[in-house]
Amino acid sequence: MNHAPFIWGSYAIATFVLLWTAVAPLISKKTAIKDIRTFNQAREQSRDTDS
Amino acid sequence: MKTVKPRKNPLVMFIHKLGSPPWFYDFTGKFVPWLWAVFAGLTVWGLYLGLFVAPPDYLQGESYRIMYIHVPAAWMSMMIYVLMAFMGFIALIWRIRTMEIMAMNSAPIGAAFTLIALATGSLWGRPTWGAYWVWDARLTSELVLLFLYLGVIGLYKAMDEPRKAARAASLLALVGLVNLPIIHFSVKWWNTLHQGSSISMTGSKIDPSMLWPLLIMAIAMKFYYGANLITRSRVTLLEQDLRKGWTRGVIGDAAKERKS
Repeated sequence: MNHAPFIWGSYAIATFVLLWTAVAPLISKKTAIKDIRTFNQAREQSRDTDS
Repeated sequence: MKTVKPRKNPLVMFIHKLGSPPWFYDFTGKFVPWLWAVFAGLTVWGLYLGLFVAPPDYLQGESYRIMYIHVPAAWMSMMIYVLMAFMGFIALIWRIRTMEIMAMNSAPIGAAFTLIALATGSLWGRPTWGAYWVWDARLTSELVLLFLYLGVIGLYKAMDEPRKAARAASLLALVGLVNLPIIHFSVKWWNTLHQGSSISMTGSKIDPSMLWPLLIMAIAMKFYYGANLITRSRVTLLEQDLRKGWTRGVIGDAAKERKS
């Protein structure tokens, strides 16, 4: 039996899962920073209109 | 008469500081690139030794090389669960928010390692046992571990109030600890197809040329966990503290990073 597909298949699955687990929080960070920026801009705008 | 101020224990001081979200965000952020760098270096070294230098096994041939990802992933799946339950316990007793966040962010990483352990074990089982899956005690208890991780993640996401959700999920994590001795001792307690431990505290049955890549990969995965956990926990803090003043400094840092 040729073992290569089983070995490379295992490493491919592991690479995909580990990469996705590492990249997912970076995508969330981008969204969080965008949300913080939007929130702060909205707050500054409301302060300007108040004064 | 002079009064002497009682000296504060540095460890207690450190734990107190760790409970402060801005301090946690700044302090842990310094380690992230180093943890990723060490993980990458060790992984390249371990895989090179495991896939290209270590000789084939006399019985299993080349398929044993799956062990270099399967075994560290299986170890990590259990280690992360213990750490998650421990952090959950601290969060339940002392109500430290950063601990709640770290416990909850351990769950997806632990689930990922459990999934890898199950998938790679299955791919190793086909050429070795002739089957992708058998309802063996070790395999089944590891599958139960995956369900426990998914249960913790699901319970945490199901509730609107994150602190309440973290406490409920921490309790579930603590109850699930009972599965860990079952996984570990399953190969001793029952007649299983899965082999027994080749490495113990007293020694190893594996030849050093095959053992070293395994140990290097096992250490690399611990750095992966550290880097990933810190990254996730910092992001969760940002998401939860969106409206708090300290996050404004983070936007400044992000802008600086983009410019450089």
